[in-house]
Amino acid sequence: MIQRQKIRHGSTDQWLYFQTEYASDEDDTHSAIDVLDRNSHVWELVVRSPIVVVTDLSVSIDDLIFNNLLSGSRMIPDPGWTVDEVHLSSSGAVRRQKPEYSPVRMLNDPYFGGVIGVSGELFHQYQAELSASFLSREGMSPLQCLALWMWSNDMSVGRLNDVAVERSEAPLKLHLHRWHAAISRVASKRGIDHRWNIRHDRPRIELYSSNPGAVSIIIPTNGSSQRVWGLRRNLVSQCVESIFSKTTEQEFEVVVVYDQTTPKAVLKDLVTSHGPRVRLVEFDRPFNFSEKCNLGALRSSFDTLCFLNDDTIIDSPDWISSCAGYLGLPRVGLVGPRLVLEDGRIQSAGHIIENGGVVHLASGESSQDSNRLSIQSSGERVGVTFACAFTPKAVFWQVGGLCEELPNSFNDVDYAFKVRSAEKDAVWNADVGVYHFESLSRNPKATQSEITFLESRWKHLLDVSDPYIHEIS
Amino acid sequence: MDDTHAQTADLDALRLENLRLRDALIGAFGEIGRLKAHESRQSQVEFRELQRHLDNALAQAEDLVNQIAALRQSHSWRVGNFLMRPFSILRRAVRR
Repeated sequence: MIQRQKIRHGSTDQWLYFQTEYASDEDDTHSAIDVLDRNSHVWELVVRSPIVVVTDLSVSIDDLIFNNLLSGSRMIPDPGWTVDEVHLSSSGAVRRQKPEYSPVRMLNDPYFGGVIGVSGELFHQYQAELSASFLSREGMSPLQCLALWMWSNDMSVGRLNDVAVERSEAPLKLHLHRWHAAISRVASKRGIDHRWNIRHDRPRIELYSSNPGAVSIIIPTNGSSQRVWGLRRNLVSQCVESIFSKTTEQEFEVVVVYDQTTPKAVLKDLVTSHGPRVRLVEFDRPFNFSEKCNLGALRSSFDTLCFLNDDTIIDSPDWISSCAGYLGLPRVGLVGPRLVLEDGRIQSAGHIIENGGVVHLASGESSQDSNRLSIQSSGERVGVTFACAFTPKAVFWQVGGLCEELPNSFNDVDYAFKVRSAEKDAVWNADVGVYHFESLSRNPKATQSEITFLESRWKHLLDVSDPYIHEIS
Repeated sequence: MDDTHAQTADLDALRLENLRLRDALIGAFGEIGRLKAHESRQSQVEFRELQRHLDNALAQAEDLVNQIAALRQSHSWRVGNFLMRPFSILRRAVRR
């Protein structure tokens, strides 16, 4: 017979559900067995169970919901899954949509809520490793331990879209310091370079790479000069100057892709001031930002590419090692730093989907707003702007570079969608800042043909709510 | 020198063309995804429309069944039925 079991996990107020087949005369003997006792014969049932749901006491899962979870879990490829929660209160029921699984965001935000499900077999594997590993000594709840174990093994957690569970009380409070300690331990074990930092009174873990490798920085320019911080400056000159004066890493080259309008004196000065690490590439065709970037990538020497607009100034000495740290994660194919305007406000905290289009998150907002975790710590995004973007050359080749059908706007949005379709993530890096004097060097307005082209490829991905950023009211 | 420059330009042109083709390919997959999503949404709309028709038809059928049941329970039906019973018996006898 099919029987659903609800088993209390020893010392905590969390529950494990599992469903399995067994003889009815065994019902009573299993009802109060601590599932974490691995010597118990209940383990045989757990291993055969199609799903094990780890949740807390204030989440109710009746037979109907349980069967929906069971069938939903068969529809997604991810080894783990979670669901939205409907919060019940005196003022009514509010459904809180969970964001897509975001391993980078999880460094500082254990957002997975109060439900995680896996197969019985996987749960058994987790328990076997847990008892023999450092995880068991972290003093975390089973739910946190399971999430962390999956994180440490690069297992994705999907979301069952058509199911929601009801929650009568607020989720359990997670101890962020314990979470950070556990993340740090797992990261150390996996050889991921990371460090603690406190920004805006909030502790957080940041990634970096102690050996970022050589980077080709590609700067398309038309050689124009504009007023920045009250002074008229040549944009590409000040951009390259900031790279050489700020950057602590030594292994990089700067590939300047210039139009014929670029003053010869500017080009000469770039080479004489900074030596052979600056390479000049002439672009003699009508303006096409994408084509200029592609040409720069062709002429680059190294395996990591950084596309940088000429109207930017580097502000963080370790910007390369920081971005390379995130780029080194297995699923990451695109990384962009925090872009700030001339007056210090945020220009872009990555791209988000809004009303069927893509916009900059937190554009024009103060970067001091510590209440918004989404702009205080790094996390996955649908894309990042190519005003400053790191991507592996292999990924750039795989997805066909920047689309030349989009000469002016949306080429970065299209690139990010292509990267996602190649099953790589885009990550916004909150840890380093780059000044971006937005669109001083060119007109930012998108043409109708560019909008139409973008929609012809990706409208189905634009007509949904943003997968990662849900500002919960 | 000119030959080398020309060769580099040719190589660049070929590699750029390679990128364009890859871009077009992955873009085509994007378009397929969009069309599939559109088709799926369209199918869902049609399915919901069909379901609405069926629900209406079922409601009408249920209404008719209820009306018939109510009719059969009504006093006039039972009286009529009672009065017509001899004719029914006679009709069955004639048929034999």
